[in-house]
Amino acid sequence: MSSLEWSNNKVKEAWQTACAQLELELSHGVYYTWILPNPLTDVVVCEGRVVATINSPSGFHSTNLRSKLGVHLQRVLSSVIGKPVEINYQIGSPSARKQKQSQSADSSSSSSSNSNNNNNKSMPTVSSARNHTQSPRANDLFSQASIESVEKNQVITRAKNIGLRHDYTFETFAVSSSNEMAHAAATAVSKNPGETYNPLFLYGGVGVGKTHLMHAIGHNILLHQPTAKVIYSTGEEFTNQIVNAIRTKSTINFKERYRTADILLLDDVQFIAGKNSVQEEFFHTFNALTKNNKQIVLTSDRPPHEILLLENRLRSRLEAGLMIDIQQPSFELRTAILLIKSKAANIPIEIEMAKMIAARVDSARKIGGILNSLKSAIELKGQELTMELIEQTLMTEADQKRPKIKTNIQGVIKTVSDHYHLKQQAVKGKSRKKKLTMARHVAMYICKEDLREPYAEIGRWFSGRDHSTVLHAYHKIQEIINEDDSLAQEVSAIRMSLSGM
Amino acid sequence: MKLELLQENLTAALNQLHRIIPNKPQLSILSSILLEAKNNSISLSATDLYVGIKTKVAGKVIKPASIAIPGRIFHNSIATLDPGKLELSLKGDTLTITSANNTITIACLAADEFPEFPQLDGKAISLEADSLERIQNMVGFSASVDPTRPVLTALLLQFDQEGLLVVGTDGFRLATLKLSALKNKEGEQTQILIPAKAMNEAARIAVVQDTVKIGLRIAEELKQAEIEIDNTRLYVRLIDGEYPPFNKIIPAQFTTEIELDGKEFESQLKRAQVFARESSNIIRLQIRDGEMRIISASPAFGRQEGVMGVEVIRGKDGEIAFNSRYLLDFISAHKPEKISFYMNESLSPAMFRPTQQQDYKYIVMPFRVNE
Repeated sequence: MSSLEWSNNKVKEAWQTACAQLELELSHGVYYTWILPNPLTDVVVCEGRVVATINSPSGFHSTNLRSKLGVHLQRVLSSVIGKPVEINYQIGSPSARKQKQSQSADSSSSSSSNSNNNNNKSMPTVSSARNHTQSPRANDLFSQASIESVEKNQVITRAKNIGLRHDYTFETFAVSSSNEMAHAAATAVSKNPGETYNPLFLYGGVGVGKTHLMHAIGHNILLHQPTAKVIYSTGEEFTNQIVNAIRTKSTINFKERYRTADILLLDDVQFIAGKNSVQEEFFHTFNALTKNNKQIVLTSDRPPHEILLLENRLRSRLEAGLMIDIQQPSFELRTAILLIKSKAANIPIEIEMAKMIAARVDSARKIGGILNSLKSAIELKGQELTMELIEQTLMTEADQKRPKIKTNIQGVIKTVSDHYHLKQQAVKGKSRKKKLTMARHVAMYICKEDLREPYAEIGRWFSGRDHSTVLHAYHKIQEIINEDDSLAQEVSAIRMSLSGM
Repeated sequence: MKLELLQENLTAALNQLHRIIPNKPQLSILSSILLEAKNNSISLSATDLYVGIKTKVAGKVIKPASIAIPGRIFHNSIATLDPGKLELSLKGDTLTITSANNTITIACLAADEFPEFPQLDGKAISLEADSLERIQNMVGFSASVDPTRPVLTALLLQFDQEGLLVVGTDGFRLATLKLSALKNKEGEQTQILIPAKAMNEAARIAVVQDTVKIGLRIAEELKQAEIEIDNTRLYVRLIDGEYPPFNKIIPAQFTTEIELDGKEFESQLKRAQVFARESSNIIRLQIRDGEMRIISASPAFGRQEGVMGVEVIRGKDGEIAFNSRYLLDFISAHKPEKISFYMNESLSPAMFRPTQQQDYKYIVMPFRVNE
């Protein structure tokens, strides 16, 4: 189909010619009322047909022009253009209409969810209004600055309503080798939700930053798509909601809520394992969302294949996306996290102090706790920030924050032996094989550090060793832990299993 | 043509029409009123081609016909007659009006020269007259009167599943009212821009006629809306263009929220206005320790400072400056007993609301004050 649109100048010229002719033929009043305000704005030649568009300022003009002068106008335009024309009557300013057309075209092609959002593309300028109002110095409501500041406010509020922590953003996330993969995947997902990695499955131990990354994805998506429907929930909340929905016979609302999400963030997904109806519901939600390319992000403390009692069909789906393991933060990363957090909390910690804390604390979460106690010591008690204060805080904090281990020396020895796949008798015994001494020292260290048993008592359990031997082992492990992350991780892993006993 | 009607009824109808008759139109027929008498219904119409009014008058049609009568002459002569029965008859193009004591003859024009009114099809949205009055009182005043930005002289009406949202703004303050009773069942969102003036006119007619229900019919193609108020139909041209992104400048949360007494605030503002008038109407509000100070100063005459107790619901102390006119507009529109005031930083948009009106928001842009 070949269609040809006349240039503006040519249209204008034709209209002027037509006007000159019409002015002669019509009375003054008729010409000025019905012809002049209703100009020819478009001529399109298409397959031998010529369509001329007449633009009227109101429905009154258009209706009357068509019925009273339509034939006349058509005759004149045909003679000016040189071919029989059809007239297309339109109302409204042509520029506004064109804008609308192009807008509806691209808004329908993009998505339907941003319905109240598609009138923001071109901002009418305000300079003309400014000259007329009496309050020249009032800032304009629709100025760029005002819109931006309110948008930020709106995003923060939305994030808050969704349940995202405002300080868990990418800006406050320290990256190092242990979590750079996860960070890269999270940023990619937040830039193109539903397209890159779906689902994104992050797993790792306590305080490695899974939740932080997940919240950051939520924030970043909201920032770019303020109207996106983001749902954040923990596995436990998800479970409770289903139970509630079943009880109140409102499962339909529950389904509606989750299956219309654009982004689903489900924290600690391992909690749904073993609960059949919950898994079933999650399975269907999962399918409904992925089918429509809606992003799902999940976190867990272990990979899917290690989550026992997880249905196979669900496991295979979780494994179908991208799974990333986040390691315990290294010493350097802990230092960096500490510096970021201290800056946010407004505590001027120097790098040496930061290193000292990072050396003694193994998870990012504990760093927060230490900083809080430091902050209260400084602000409430008026103490000064010194190495001594930090030392003091670390002593008390480390005790309080560590999960309570409710077992005895026998329990520790058993768990340590199991961890290293050694026999308990060998660990307790006299052999000096390197593998054995290491496990023995770790066991001693935990007995001292966590159970607070006297050195002599610990010594007795290990073939009646002297208390100084235990003391030596304790210091040795402490030293290694502060420098070597792999041992620190092993110890904290053992602690985890102990605290679960 | 021959018909009989009461002077009272005819004057009432002409009172509605005469204000839209253009003064010196290029087409002389436009200064006429079209009288149509057929099948026992008498209707009068007038238009300036942007707004049109058609209204019915009670009366008895003896012989039907239609004629265009010069508007001003017709209105003025009928208005001066005594109440009572009138007889209108037509011979050729001459209309004769006979009352008990007077006989008036007016030279008229043929009815077919009078412009046709556009035909609007489609279902009408039904609106309570109360709602129209609320729209007019609470939102109407926020629209701009500046013809250089036609979009802002309109009120935005947005229908969707949640109801009807009405927005008015002049670029410095913005009012929104949500009427949740008017749900659009089909779920599609429609937006139209109706001139605030026309809404005002409709509200006025509704009050005069003591109407309960109002019908609103919209023709997107014709860019025309028809507001039906009992026997009167108002034809309004919709405004073309893009409404500013109002959703983007309504803060979702505020750090400070206080409640204050409406009457007391009004009298404080009026006092402050005396000095503010000299300096672009700037008044400053300082919120501190459960009190609000209202300060205005004029470089030439001096300053005034008032204090009133407020109830701090949440948030911290703050200071913000406004154009007092915007606040007085708000107060005189609502006469609220209690006002809720919300703010963030002193340069971010703030919000006022009569405490009782959860469905209403009045957003005002503050002044930047250097002091």
